[in-house]
Amino acid sequence: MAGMRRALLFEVRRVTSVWSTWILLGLIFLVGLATTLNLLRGEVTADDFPLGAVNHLTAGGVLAAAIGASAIGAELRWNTLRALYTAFPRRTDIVLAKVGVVVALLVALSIVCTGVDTAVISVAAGGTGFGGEWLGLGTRSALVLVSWGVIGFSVAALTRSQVAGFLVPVAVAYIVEIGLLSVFPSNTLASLLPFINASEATSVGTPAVEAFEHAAVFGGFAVALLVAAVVVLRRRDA
Amino acid sequence: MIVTTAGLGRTYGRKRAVDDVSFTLRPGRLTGFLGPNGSGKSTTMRLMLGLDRGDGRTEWDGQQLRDLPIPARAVGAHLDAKAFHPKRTVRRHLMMHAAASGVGARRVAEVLDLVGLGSVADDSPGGFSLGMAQRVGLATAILAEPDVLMLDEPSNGLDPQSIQWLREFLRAYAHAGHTVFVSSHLLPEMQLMADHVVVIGRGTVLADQSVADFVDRSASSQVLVRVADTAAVLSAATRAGLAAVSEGPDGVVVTGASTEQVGLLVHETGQPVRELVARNASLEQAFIDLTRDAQEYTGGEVA
Repeated sequence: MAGMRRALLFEVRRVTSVWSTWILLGLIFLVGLATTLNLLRGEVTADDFPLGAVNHLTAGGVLAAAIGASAIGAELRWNTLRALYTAFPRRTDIVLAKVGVVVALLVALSIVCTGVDTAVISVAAGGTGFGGEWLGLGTRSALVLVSWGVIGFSVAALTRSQVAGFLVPVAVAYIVEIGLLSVFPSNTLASLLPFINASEATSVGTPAVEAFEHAAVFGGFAVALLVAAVVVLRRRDA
Repeated sequence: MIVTTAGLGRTYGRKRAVDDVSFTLRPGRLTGFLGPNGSGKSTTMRLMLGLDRGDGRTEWDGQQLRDLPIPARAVGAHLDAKAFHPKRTVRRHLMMHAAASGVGARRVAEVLDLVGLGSVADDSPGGFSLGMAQRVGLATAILAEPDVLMLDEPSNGLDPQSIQWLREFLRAYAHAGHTVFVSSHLLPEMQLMADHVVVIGRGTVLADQSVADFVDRSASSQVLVRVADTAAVLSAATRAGLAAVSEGPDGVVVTGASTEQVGLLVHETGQPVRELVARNASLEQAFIDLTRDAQEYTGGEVA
């Protein structure tokens, strides 16, 4: 337990001591805010409130993958993995600390983004309109954002490349899955593809229960990749 | 802290890079780790720290490294010259590592001054020279004042003054009761620094002894004796199974014997000794003698 506490403190100091972390987090926030402000250029009604919960996902998923990828990819890129594993020979501690800090950062960011976006829309719409679906959608958007981060981390760990940790999820989401569905249009296939599920989970029109199922598929995919990454990181040479 | 390695081994493809390497590192002693390029030094260090997977085990006062309560206080290692994020300041780099061992900002400041990085503590190390980068690595390794210090080629890139400083620092660290294990190609430097050497060649341990014993056992360790009757000394040496050759009109050079042995030899011939001089090989010569057949990569002859 003490080892885990030291690992978490190490990771918090690592993440917060380089500008790239703050730049990526800031970009997620700003892209969401920009999308919201763009929305305000039209007529805003109470129906638009749920959008406040997901605006930061416009480009946020991709950037969250970059944050996740840098958590382990930077160690590989800058030759710091050996020093890290010497200080933390129980590799699971430090790997879980890294994932934990990525998750915490993205959850906190998700809450801030959703809150700010919703507040802006609320003011524009006259201060009313928080429906029950807002909370559900906000929760699912946080789950999706976190899953993107975990997938970025896992892919970077499995491929030993920070760049791959960012590019592979993007390529699968925006090229492979869309390409597959255009060649084999099938609801069954769509229900199995992780990033299609992520999109469905955060779609305003998807019924809540079904949307959480989609979020679970995407989250499950992220967890499966994470388990593979942890196993590989524990066994592989530093 | 006593560090014991037993049966360390690692195979890459068909090549056995490290084979049954066993030795013990003791506190209060600076142990040099010598070997030609590709002999398995770095792999052995990584195996000891559990960074690479392989055979055998390493015990730190009888325990596995991962079972120690705070591993960073047991061992500090500096294996890669530039192991830091180029945009993270040196102070923040050390503060990050301080979290691993539970030391505070005061110790970080102390270490920064100790390694001579105080004036650049808040600079990003991206543009640092190799010598400066080595200091960052050393600062990271000694941050928690670990019982064991393991350094892989720490002198690379350092200027002569820095090498002298490093030598004095490491000797003081070892003689304060810590265990110090240093690999280096700078053999004259190692001769000045190390108390003990472990020599590795083609992945196996070739020698594990004090520097003095290692140098003495070299075939290049000779004794020159000057006497009136060299023929008598040559015969006596042959009878004693020692290799001896004449040098000049009154000199005999005996190889592989101590001055005491040669003195006794001359005494048997019943003549006075004009001069008795030990011509000790350097660590470098002893190393070359020992590893001549264990070189993985050799250059051509210089014309």
